[in-house]
Parts: sequence; structure tokens; C-alpha cells
Amino acid sequence: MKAITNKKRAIYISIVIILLVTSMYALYLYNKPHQGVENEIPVLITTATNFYQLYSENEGAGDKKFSGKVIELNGTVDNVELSDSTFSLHLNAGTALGGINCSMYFPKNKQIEPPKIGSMILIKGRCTGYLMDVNLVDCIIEKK
Amino acid sequence: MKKILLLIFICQVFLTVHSQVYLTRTGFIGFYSKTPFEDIRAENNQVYAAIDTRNKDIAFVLLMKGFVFTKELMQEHFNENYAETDKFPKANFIGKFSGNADFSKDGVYPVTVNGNLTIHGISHNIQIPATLQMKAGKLTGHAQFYIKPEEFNIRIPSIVRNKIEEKMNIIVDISCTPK
Repeated sequence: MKAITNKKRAIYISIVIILLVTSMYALYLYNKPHQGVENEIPVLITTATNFYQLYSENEGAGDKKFSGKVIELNGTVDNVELSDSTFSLHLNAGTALGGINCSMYFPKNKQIEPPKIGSMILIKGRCTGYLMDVNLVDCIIEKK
Repeated sequence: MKKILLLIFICQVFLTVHSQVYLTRTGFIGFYSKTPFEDIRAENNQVYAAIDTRNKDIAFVLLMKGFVFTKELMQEHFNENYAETDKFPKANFIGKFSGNADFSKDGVYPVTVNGNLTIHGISHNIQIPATLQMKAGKLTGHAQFYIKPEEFNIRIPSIVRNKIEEKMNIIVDISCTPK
């Protein structure tokens, strides 16, 4: 009789532990802060010009392939816009019509120096789609 | 949607001869909600905007996936369940502003903006107060207003409805140049 009670107790304790761990994991996921792309592997590594052409030729196909995905691009900075808390880069795509609009990921504890206009950079970011430019968010500079 | 991009592109083409048109690719729109259960903050720094000070036209377009949330799960739910950003990737506003403003001089000008806001494939006419400021050749705009998600057919499940304010607080800040 005592053995059965102990067995039941063990089952109850296991259930409580499982519920507790599951709840803690759910709470962690619920409160998980926004993550950058630092630890993500890009689905495509190419030049800014090539990526812009891929997207601008067929926006719908571009969205299906790349929207929401992490991309790594090599390109020349043709504009830098500073704001109070962050900065945006525009990469040249070999056409006056558009390029790559990169909004930087700027964790509060990191101060990142904006690159100079005309410099070549390697940048990683998450593609959000196409307007006049192909837009990337959460961008980090991999190499100046 | 293509009409807005065309308008912005035409504005760009005519910029050299019509300096009344001001553009940006890096405008800011954020939406916010604060309840005892949850704070929501989502910000988009890639708003494309064109303001024609001569004809008093104003146009905005943005990618819904460009909204970055403070919490990962909120952003996922916003994209997949609420705004359905794969199905409705863009939001836009086309309208006009009214009010006395002399943009040949530096100054802050209160205006009223009236036009059609399209989100989640649903368009509504809105009228909001705003300010336009001309300073050293740069035209900045600021507005704050409220919208109800349900008015744009964005359905929020009843289980989380009390975690989200009935009306979302929208803040617009743009800084346009005549380049």
C-alpha cells in the first residue's frame, strides 16, 4: 500500500515538474525580446545589385523566396541617414530607380559607427519586401 | 499600391525642376498600446513618403513586415495572425493637407491631413491634425492619431483582447528633403 502511495507521489511530483518547466518555457517564449540576425544563417549571399535585380524583375516571386528571410549582401553605401536612436544605409544597386534600404539593428548597449558613403560593406539583415528599394531590417555590418 | 510608388517616382523625376516636392525613404511610424497586462511597441523606420507643398498632396507607403516589435512572439503573431503580412504586405495613405503655410520661410505650420488610409486591404477616410515644419530646407512632419484594428478587419481573439488597447496610438515622424 505504501509502495503504491510512493508511486503516486512520484507521478504527481513529475506532473508538477513538467507543468512548471512547460510554464516557465512558455513564459520565456512569451517575453523573449526581439532577436537580431547575428546568429542566423543567411538563405542567400550575393551582391546588392544582383539582389535588387532578382526582386525588381518579379516582386511576387521575390516575396515568396525572400520575404522574412535573412540575406547577406555586398555593396557600396550611397547614403547614410542618421536619426536620434539609429541609422539607415542605402546600398547602390546600379540603377537610379532604387537600391537596398537597410535599417540597422541597434541594441542599446552597442554603439556602432556608421560607414562612410562610397565604402564597400558586407551587411546581413532580414528582408521585408520591395517598395522602390528592397528593404532589410535588423541589419548588422559583417565587414567594412 | 503601384499608383503610390508611381507618384513617389514621378515626384523624384520632377524634383530637379519642382523643388516643392519633398521625399524620404526613412520615415518613422510607430504604434503603441498600453494596458495593465501588456505594453506593445512596434516601430517602422522605412516609411516612404512624398509631400508636394505646392499641390498639398501627401502620400505614404510602408511594408507591414518592417514593423519591429520589442518582443519576438508579438511580432510573429502580428505578421501571421493579425495583420497577415504575407497576404497584405503593404499599407498606404494618400491624401491632402490643408491649412495656411508659407513653406518659403522656416516655421512650424499646423495643418489638417485628410485622405484614405489602407491597411490589411481595407481603406478608410481619416482626418487628423498634424504639424509640418520647414527648417533649413528640410520639411519634417509629425502626427499622432488613433485607429481601431477592427475597423481594418484585423480580428483580435477575445482571449487577448483585454491585453490590447481598443484604439492603437499611432505616431508619425518624417523628415523629407528636396533632393
